[in-house]
Amino acid sequence: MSTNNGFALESHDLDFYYGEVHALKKIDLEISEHQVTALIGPSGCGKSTYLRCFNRMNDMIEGIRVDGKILVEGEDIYSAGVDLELLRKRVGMVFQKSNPFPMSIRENVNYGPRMGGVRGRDRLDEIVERSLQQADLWGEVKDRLDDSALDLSGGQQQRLCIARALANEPEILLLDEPASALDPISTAKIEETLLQLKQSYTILIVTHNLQQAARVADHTAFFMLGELIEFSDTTTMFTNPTESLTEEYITGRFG
Amino acid sequence: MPGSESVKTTFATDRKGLAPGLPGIWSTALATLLVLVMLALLLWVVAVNAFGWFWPASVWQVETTDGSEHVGIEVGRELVPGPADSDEVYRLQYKVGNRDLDGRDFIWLDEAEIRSRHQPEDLVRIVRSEYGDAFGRIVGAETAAGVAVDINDPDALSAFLEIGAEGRTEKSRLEDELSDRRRPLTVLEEELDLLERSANASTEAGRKKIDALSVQVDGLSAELRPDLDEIQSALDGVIEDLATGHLRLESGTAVFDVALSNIIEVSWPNRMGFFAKFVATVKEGVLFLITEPREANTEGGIAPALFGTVLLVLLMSVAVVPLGVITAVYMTEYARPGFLLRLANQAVNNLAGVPSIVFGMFGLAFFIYGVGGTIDRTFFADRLPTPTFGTGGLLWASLTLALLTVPVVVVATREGLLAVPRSWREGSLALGATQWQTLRRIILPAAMPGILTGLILAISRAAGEVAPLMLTGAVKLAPSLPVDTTAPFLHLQRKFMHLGFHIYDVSMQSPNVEAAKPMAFATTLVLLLLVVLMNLAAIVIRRRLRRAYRGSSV
Repeated sequence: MSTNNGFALESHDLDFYYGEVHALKKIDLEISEHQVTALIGPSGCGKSTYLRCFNRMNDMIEGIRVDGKILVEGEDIYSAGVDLELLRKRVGMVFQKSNPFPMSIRENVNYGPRMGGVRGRDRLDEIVERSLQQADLWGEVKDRLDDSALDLSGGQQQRLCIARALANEPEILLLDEPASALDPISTAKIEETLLQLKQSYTILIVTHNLQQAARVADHTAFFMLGELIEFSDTTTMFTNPTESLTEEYITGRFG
Repeated sequence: MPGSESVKTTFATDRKGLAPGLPGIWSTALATLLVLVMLALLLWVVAVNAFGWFWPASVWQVETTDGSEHVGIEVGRELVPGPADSDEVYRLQYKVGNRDLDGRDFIWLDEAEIRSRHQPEDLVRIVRSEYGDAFGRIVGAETAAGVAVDINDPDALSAFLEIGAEGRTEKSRLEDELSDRRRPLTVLEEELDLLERSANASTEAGRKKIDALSVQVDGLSAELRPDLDEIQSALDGVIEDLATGHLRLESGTAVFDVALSNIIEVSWPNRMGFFAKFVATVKEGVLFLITEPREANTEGGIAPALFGTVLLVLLMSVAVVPLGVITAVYMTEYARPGFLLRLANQAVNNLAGVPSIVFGMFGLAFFIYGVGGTIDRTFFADRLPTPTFGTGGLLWASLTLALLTVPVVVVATREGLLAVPRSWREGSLALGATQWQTLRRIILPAAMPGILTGLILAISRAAGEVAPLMLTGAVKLAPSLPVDTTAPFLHLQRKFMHLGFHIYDVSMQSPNVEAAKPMAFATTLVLLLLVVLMNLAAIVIRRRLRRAYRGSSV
């Protein structure tokens, strides 16, 4: 049993380099279980890079270097012998632009479990139904599970991607600006979904939308130029920030 | 301010003449038009020449001023070369057939020496299995029993011809039966023959083996003899009947007999209406596709060449797709970008530009002498020096073509792979799929249209290649098809016929080039249509796949 002191995700003295570019500087952060934590900050501040450290999606990029420690459920995921596939099953991810595969809705949702070796039509269908219900999409698609996922609307596609991530039964969900390309109604639906998911998952969300952070997040971290400026509970951050930079950003002085 | 004054605009121009760049636009349009016209012309020339052969031409009877009379079909008209100031004199070329009479198929007649010509309805064209076509008028017919047939009674005549057709069917049936019954013996004899010619025939063991086999051959021969003799005598009877029964033909002053065995088809082209001619054309066309060539490829059909080409291209596809796709996958998905990858890329691109005859030489040296020779020494040692795989054959030709076309498949597949959205790869990996699973489930299916594009290009290139095939196993006349009913059914070591090589052979190497010329065009048309057909099939499949991936950028 790992000792995580109630923290799902932690980073200690995290330095991240793209080649010569020092993208994250000495980030120390502890993210609590079953809470929504938002990462905010101006473009290029490193918040997406930080998010992608937790399922090691940055590994795909040539020439990166990671110093310091990243812990998921108390385990160092950059240590030798980490099973990347298992890590990514436990730490699900939803991308900024919805990316359903060119398959049926059903195949999209059960893709993760299938790749993980889950067999049996009944078992897979069960997963599909549960995941779609969690992502609040079941009612809209239950009669056309075998239609192409590419026929869904933008908002539905993004919720399908959430369902797809949930099908793996992860403990943590990483969301990289999941609603930035969506209309307000779709955005509201996604936010609603996130608040429900909070009961069973730890959620880390990158967002450009400060109102969104204020609406859904329990804690908020403000990044700028690769540095963590401030981390506190959301209400404090938005009403009484400690740092003047935070205040200027929140009040729209820059960003 | 007067209302008639026009509104001044700063965009107005006082430029005179053509807008700048217009001639440039015209010339590009002209060039496009030229290309299209040339393409249409190509199709037209091939199609006209080919269909002209299938269309039943009218048969002329021509009387000349010197009193001689000729029967044949008009095939050409040209200016007689002479001094520049002389009158223009034209001459006509007739195909008179009847090669058995004076050895020539065609005659030239000056228009001036033609006294009269007309198309009597009773002139016939007889397609024969030997000596090419016969033209003339039927003046008599006699059955095998020596009974004269009333040639003026159409029913009697067609009944007589029907007997001939039945006899020929019976003959080929009996021949097939004979060879079928004899097959076990033939196989043994071939084995014995190989043993006797092999290098270890002189050794003690070899001698013993040969003796044992000889005894076996003799035994089987004695056992089969009564059966075979029975079939043989029935066959002899049929052959005798076919050779005796005949039509008597008159062409000009010549009167000659055409045996029933020699008659493939009798037609009266001058009696045919447009519709009848159309039907005959279609029938000829189909026969052309499904029958074997006769008379050193100058007559008959192209079935073995068509079959060989299709089979060759299929085998090539089976070899080239995995090879090309795996190469492209490695280069795109796994290889680290750098000098070596750029070098490999350049090598693949340049491979596409290597002259095909070079691949032919490579196939000969590497596949046939190298690989084939090794297979022979290892597995067929007792047959040497007779080569089994160490000689040109379908397998080596298709592998050579696969090598020739692998660059296009690699390039097209790489493009297909690179076009797969990065978000799909990331999505799959983020769901805990391995790189291999991502490749198999997401990337390769999405790259399938690209792969098929590569295959289409490969097929187009391969179907038309002749040069490498001449070195690796295409032959003028293959004794047997590469596929038959004896195990293992697909005989990859056999030589094969090929449409492209057939065109070359018929138009350049034929003993009777003039007669074979239309056949070369017809073969060309078939090759062209075959390539188009195979391409269309692949395009249809690709379109179906693309529909499945709409919304993506591939």
